[in-house]
Amino acid sequence: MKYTLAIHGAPYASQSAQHGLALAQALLAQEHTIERVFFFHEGVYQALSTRVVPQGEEDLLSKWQELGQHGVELAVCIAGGIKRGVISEEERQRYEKQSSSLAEHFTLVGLGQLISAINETDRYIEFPA
Amino acid sequence: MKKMLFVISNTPYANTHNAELLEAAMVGAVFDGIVSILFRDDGVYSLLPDQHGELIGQKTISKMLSALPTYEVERLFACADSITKRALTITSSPEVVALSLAEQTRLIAEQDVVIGAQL
Amino acid sequence: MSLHLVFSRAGYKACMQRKVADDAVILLADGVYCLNIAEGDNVHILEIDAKVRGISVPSHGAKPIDYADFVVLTEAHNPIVSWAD
Repeated sequence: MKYTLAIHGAPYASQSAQHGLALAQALLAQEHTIERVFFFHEGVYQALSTRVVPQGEEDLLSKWQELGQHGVELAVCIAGGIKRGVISEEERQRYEKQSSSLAEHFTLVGLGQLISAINETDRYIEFPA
Repeated sequence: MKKMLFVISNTPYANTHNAELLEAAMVGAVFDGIVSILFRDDGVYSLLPDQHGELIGQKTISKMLSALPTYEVERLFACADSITKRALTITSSPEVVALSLAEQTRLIAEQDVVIGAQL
Repeated sequence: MSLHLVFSRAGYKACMQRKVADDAVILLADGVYCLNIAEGDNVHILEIDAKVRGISVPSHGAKPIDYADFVVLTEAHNPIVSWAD
């Protein structure tokens, strides 16, 4: 089956990322396809490249990026992302900011990409803030 | 074409989730989804008329709701129980249909996707 | 049939008021605190989230599941509704 996942929670504010990652890994292990993981609301902070993992804690960013390397699209809501400071190199240039902050393997996309993923998949699962 | 239900269950100005969710609902309609919106629990506070989000530099939810029919989002529902408990008089434009809990059960069960678990 | 993901105690209440009687339910995150009030045959609890919180799952009542079981439940149900009030 094809799945769309949505992550709504910021790091350290909910289990949103842990749930989404663990389910994503289990889905792939059972030969399902994840069309897109959509980061919405405060979930956009999951894609911040500047996060430093405290010693002894799980590196969730690397785990997302591993999924990205396995072909899962990590899509960050562009409207929600840029207003919260999650910007790609392209947006950095457009808005003349000093540095970009979008981690590798993530992309900024419009809300249309959430809806089109939903339209093209069999299941939509949301992990709230 | 998928049947998409957007659920708004939180107050409108504690964060910007309601505004972001309404934007997603509009995009859903633009992509030919059969879009419904359900306001329940504290989400029904979004249905008060005459809000002024601009006073704190935010989008005004009541104005966004008025724009929904332009996007052909016309299936707006509210939990009757939640409105009564809060003793609210909700907006008359756009039209919002009050549903019993049993009717909400049917509404949810008939969807392809339900979007908007909130906090 | 729908699958309901319950993430909190308030979410549990909102879900119970609006779900079809035999829909499937998974208690996860703070939803696991509803274990002792959860009713019905088709209620599951994400075991790891219960363990995290020091909640032990008795052999009767909600069925303990792992992520592989979670996947199976998502295959069998739609829509999947999250409740996090």
